[in-house]
Amino acid sequence: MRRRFTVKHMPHEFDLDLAPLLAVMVKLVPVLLVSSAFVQLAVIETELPQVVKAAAAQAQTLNPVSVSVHMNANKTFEVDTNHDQKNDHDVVVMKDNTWDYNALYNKLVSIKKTYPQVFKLDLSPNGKIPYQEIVHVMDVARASKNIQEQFEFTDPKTNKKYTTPLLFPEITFINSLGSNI
Amino acid sequence: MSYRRKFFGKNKKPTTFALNITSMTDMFTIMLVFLLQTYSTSNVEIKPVEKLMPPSSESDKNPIEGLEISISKEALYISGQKIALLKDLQFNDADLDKNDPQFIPKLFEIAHKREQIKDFDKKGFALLQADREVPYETLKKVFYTLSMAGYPQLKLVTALAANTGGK
Repeated sequence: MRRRFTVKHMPHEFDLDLAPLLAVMVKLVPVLLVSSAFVQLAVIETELPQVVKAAAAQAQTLNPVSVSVHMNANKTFEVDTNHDQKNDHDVVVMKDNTWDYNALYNKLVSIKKTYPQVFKLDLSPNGKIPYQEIVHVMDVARASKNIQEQFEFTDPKTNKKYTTPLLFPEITFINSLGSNI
Repeated sequence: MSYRRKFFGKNKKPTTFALNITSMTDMFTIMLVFLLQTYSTSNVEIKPVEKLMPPSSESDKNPIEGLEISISKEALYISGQKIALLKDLQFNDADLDKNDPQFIPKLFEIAHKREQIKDFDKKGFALLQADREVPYETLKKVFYTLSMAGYPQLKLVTALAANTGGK
């Protein structure tokens, strides 16, 4: 008997069983909900002045340069640079009735270009200044806004030259040890 | 055709039905992506204090373990324990030392005790979580006392500027 040639018709559409996938997601979602951080927190490192530590660091430094920023209650910055008993004093006045962070940034960049070996900045805010403004100044002083703007410095140990986008990442609250400092 | 067959015979409904879960799976996929984005990879969990709005910063360094100090608009906390009250963002005179108004005796006592016990505290790390409106003269008292208690390394806890819209 001749067998009749038949073509089996396979279905072109099929239903995907999503139930196992959904089961996995239902288990994953609560786990992720518990471990999610909806407000992501970070930290800024700073040092408090320790008299002995500061003295030791000063003694080790061959060429001491100190850069300090004073935040006044009238929204002005006073930037002081001390080098070889020579003091450069600049005042950054407020702009549009608020702190002029851009002018402060430009001033700090020019200081950094003059003294690329210096990474420490002494910050002394006035007692009335809110914490948010202090953190903003620390952000301005920490690193270059433009990633392409790098500062060249020489490692004193190896005498090799390096570039860094950092301005003054080591910020110390110089007036935290007393009301008169 | 009988009356019974006419009304009950034709309307036989299937007892099982297929639930369409495609749209639900779509929704869960979107939720999963969102939650994966906000997943915290930091190994240190900082418990937020009520009514405390940390300042925004561009710093993205992960917090490390240390002595947790929090200053809200209403009180000073150490490891979640309330130790002093604030009025108009200032410490009460009763919580300050009579001879040295910059010094907070209770904070010193607890911090100094912790510094002697805990291993991680011996490195001198203190995590300071403060409200963005707290003035420097209030913060200064905490800095001063912490410095005296042997915590020269201060980590200021901030919220990422990207999360707060830069505010």
